Amino acid sequence: MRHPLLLLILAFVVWSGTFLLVYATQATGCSLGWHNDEIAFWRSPLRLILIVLVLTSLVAIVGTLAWLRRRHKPAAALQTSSFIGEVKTYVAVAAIFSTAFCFAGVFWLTLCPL
Amino acid sequence: MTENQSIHHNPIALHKALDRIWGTKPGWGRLAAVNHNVIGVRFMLTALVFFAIGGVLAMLIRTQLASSQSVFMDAETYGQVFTMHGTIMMFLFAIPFFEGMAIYLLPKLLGTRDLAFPRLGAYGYWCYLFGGMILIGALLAGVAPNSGWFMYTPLSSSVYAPGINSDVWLLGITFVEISALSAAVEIIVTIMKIRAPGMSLDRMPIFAWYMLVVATMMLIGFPPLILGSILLEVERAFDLPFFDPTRGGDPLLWQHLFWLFGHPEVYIIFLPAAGAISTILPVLAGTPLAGYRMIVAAIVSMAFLSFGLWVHHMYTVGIPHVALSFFSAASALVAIPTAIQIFAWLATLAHGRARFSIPMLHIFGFFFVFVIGGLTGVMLAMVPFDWQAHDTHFVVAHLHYVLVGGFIFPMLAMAYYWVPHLTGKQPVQHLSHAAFWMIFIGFNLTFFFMHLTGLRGMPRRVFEYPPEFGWEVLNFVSSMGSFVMAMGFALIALDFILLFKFGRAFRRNPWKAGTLEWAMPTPPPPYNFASIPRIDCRADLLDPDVIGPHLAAGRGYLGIPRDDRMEVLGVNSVTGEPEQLVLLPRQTFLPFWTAVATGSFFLLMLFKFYWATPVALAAVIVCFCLWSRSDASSFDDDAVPIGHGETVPVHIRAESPPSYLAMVLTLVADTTLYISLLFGCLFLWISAPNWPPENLQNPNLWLLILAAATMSLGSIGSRISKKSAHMALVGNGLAFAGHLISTGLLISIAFYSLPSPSGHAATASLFVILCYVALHGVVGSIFAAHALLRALRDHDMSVRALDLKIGGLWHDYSAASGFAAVGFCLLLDSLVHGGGL
Repeated sequence: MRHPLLLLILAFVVWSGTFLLVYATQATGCSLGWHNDEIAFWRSPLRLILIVLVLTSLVAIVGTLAWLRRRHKPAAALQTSSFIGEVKTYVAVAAIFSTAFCFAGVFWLTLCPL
Repeated sequence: MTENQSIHHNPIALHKALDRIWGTKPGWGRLAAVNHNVIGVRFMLTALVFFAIGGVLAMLIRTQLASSQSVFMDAETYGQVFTMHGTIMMFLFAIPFFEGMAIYLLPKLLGTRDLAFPRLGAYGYWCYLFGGMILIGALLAGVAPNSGWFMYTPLSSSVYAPGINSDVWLLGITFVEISALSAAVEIIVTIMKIRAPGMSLDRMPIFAWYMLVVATMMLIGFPPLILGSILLEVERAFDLPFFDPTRGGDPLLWQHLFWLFGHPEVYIIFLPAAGAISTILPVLAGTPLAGYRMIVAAIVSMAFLSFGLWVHHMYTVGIPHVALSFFSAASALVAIPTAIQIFAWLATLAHGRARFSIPMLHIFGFFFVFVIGGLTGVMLAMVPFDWQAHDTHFVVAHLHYVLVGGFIFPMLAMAYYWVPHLTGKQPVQHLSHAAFWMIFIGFNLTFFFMHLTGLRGMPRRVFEYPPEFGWEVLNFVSSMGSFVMAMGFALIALDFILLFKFGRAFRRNPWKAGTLEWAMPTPPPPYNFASIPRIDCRADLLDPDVIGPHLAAGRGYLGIPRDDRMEVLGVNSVTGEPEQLVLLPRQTFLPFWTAVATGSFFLLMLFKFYWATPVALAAVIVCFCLWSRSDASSFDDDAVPIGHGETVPVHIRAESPPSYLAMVLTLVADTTLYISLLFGCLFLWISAPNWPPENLQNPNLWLLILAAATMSLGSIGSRISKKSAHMALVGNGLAFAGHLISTGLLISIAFYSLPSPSGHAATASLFVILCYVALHGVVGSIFAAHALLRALRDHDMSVRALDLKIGGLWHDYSAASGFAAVGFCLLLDSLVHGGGL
């Protein structure tokens, strides 16, 4: 996972994984009836799981951005390195925003077919 | 004077020598062409022929809908016509055209002589041509697909479509998609490895970035469609009920698989066009592209987001609110990276002084039409609006605004910009302006009013409508507009015919562009550059007028031909520094014959001669094995001079040769297909009716574990064989035996241990998964046998190292897929029997 292009897309790879995981968990939870009980804060287990997944992903992507920015930049090919660094940052910021925006619905929207 | 000395002093002699090596032979030799210029032009011309056919079908549709209750076509004919219109435009025109454009342009923009795998490009072209011919043949025979270009089940299932119409689509399109996948691999590897020295990632022309992203999207996007087509064909041919709800299948599985491909497809079509605009617009504005880095970030983000909105085609199927919100949000979000590009283009125009030439006129058309399409796209991304407009002509209008705006207008801008490069001639006629305005006005007349038709409730895909509904006037206006547009396209065709016939010659670089494709004679010679340039700044800010003569004189890299070999340079994918000398294969008929063999497999499937398909498959395998006869193993030198006092190894001895990356990419596509299959089967468990199946009998678990374990012998064997020349025989023998045994075990489990797969989708899922792993065992045994033969022939170990590395990747993947199959069987068993439901 050291190739600069892979690092460039890393944040959105986490977003994609989150997308699959959250969508699959929601569908599975509905199928198994995890939305029918209330366990804490008047929330069903399914909603709590989804919220935890989304928040964890958000933290993971923010952590990815911080890690990418801390990484050592080699002196050679400084211009290339600066290019990759800048694009990586834009992409990671876009991934953070996308995660927050796409999955905000898990906090309040109807989880399963009525 | 020797030949080399003569070449060294004489650019004409150099040109003749390179032309002899790289050129396509006349007569039947044309079938052996592998050169990217030839293949690229063939792709584009063939796509334009299909475009014309699709256009005629569109005229038939508009004629039918011009009045209510028209008797011009009956329902069946109309079904075939509108299905084929969509299918041709999407699969046989839009994607192949930009593939051809990329195949033609990329090596030139990257400063090299050809693509990484010329034979693969030729094979892809023949697959595309033959697959397209199957579809057009079916149209002429009156048995064309008739279930819509998206082939929704159950309409396309054998119950409601018992003829071969749907099979034509499923097999023909899968055949065509081979070309898309091969182009994706070829484009990625070329951009990553085959560039001019010094062209680091930040110096790549922006078009290369666009194509890198698009090709990666194709690699991930096409496998779900191919999987869906295989599953539906298997259901139709062998009654495995993946989409039949009475036996545990679900029609929605098809929709998921189709749109997992179908929505990224829109961006796969738009992004190459956007790449061309990002290349052309700065030239016509006379200023560098604004926001190069931001655009790269935008297209990468767009690529990911485009995979997260496939369900916005399925808002009305009964998906819970929260899941709808994921897709609705992603659908709205994707407008942001699109807008970033549009604002970057506007900023570029604002910084420069735009030349109002014909390409610029078409770019204006693009801006106007595409922005409207984008805005209606955001409207449709909102669930409540979509519920009202779903499956109406509003959606038809929206998709045409996006696709015609996002592809046709940029394509015409590209054509007028690059046709001088293709032909060496500039236009002299004045039809271009009239043609543009006819297309522009005709298009808006047709499709703007279609929004209103849709908002007034007219559904898609109907062949007639009642006169009292008030749709007739709007439809008539749309039909009139479409004929104006068609006349505009005819005028464009006439304009180009006149250009080819009477166009005037021009001096180098007529647009004063800063990209490398203009640093060569026009029309381009088959080798592009007599010598390879070194790049020291961004590759769209160069001076082709200075570089061109310098390269033509052979003063760049590889300026002297060597032993009639087709040589290009392989570079480090990040820094662009030379790493290897890549020897390309010479002209050959093998791609043609391999495509013929592949086509015969699809035709045998289509006409239900299933018993003969193994023969066709064997022919395909033999043909591919013959490809491996010509490699660089006869090149003895460890370090080869490339000019400027530098030496590099030949690619087979290099650390990271192009073919290794190609295998990695192939496995990425393969993994996507496998994951789609596993997720698809789990989706059936979650959503399909009639689950759990009665008496689901899992395969013999211990036998399955044994099969996976023997499959991993391939992996172990490949590692042993890399240790020393002596161990090669043992290691490859072990790998070969492991694959054969595991394949035998898997086939026996699938065919003898499982209950009939036609009984329930759960059994069918297990059956297909086992067959998938067994197929990998068969291919793995071929890899191992090939390595074994080469070890027996006592090839130099350093030569065989590449074969072993590539085979090793396959063996590892096969073992992993075997264990994943075991895991899936356990999971399904626990879900079905362990109280999961």
